[in-house]
Amino acid sequence: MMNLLKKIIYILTVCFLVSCNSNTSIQEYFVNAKDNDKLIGLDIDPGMFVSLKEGASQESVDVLASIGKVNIVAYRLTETDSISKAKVDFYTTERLKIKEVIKNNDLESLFKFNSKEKSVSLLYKESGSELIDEVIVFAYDDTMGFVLVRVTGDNIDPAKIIKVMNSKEFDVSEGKIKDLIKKVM
Amino acid sequence: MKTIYTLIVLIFAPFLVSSQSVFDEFENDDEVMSVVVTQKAFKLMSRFAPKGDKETMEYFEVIDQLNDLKVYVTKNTKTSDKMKLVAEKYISSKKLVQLMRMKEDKKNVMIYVKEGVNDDYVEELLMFIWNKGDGSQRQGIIVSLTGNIDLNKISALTSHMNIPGSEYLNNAKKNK
Repeated sequence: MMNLLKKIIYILTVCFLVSCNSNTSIQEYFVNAKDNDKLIGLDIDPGMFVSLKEGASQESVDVLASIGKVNIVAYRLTETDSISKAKVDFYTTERLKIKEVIKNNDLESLFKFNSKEKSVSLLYKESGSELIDEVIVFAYDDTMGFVLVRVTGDNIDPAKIIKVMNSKEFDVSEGKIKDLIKKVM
Repeated sequence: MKTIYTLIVLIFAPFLVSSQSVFDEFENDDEVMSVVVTQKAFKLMSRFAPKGDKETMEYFEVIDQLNDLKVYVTKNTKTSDKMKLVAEKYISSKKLVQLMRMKEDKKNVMIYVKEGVNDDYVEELLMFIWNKGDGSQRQGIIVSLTGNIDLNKISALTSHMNIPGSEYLNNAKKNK
């Protein structure tokens, strides 16, 4: 009996290790990026900027609640006039790393633009019929740097977002957004 | 034995279904500027459809019927030659029908389609623009569009999306 239990634990551990090593999830990438001083990291709760007006419909409340968090990781190449080789090297490896992470995460591609030095990809994860759980935007420019944006949520309905945006039942605090941009730049 | 066959089929089925497009190689080519929009994106876009004027509604109706849009543009001599080869091979293997062919100076424009449910609709549209000129004139463009495509409306949409060669699409319909 003990032996069997040991075996099961052993197998489970191996499975766990294998599954951990095979791919870095996007979540893991963002967690690791936080510890990297070279990268700009930003976590935003949409509720910080958007507030519903009094008497807003339940639909608006639900839509805002369906959008969870926005995580951003960015790297800037143009801080000084000359871009050092070390910076370019870091940019190149990190960019490839992100590309690999995105590729291994079973995301559905929506839009892709590629050219010699610029690229924009838009991907998402569907939670059911045309509802969204995750949106990923990854853009880079060999002269400027890169930015990776991840929006996570719970059954985000694009049709409802449009409806709520048109309903004007919310306020956007521009001041807070400006403060945030200043902090990052 | 039967189980093994079933297993093999199950393992390989995904590869067969999601067979890579012949144009995918150009996506990773440094000399090529590419844009790829997937069916999922068109479906999502149509969900964003505003209830407004007739013209906008029509756009979104056209969008809803589209599967994939792929655009590849190059100015490189070697790559544009390769594009021509790949496009010609694709046209003959898929048995696409020529909708229009135009030649002006060193520029060739070819539009091929796979015919659909009726005269107005096609299942696939492939446009290939090849400029044999020297230096900066040199150019190769492939535009591939699949779905249920209304030839009467598609040129309005493609020019709205700034897709190269849209002006020829407009003429193609008139010539048909």
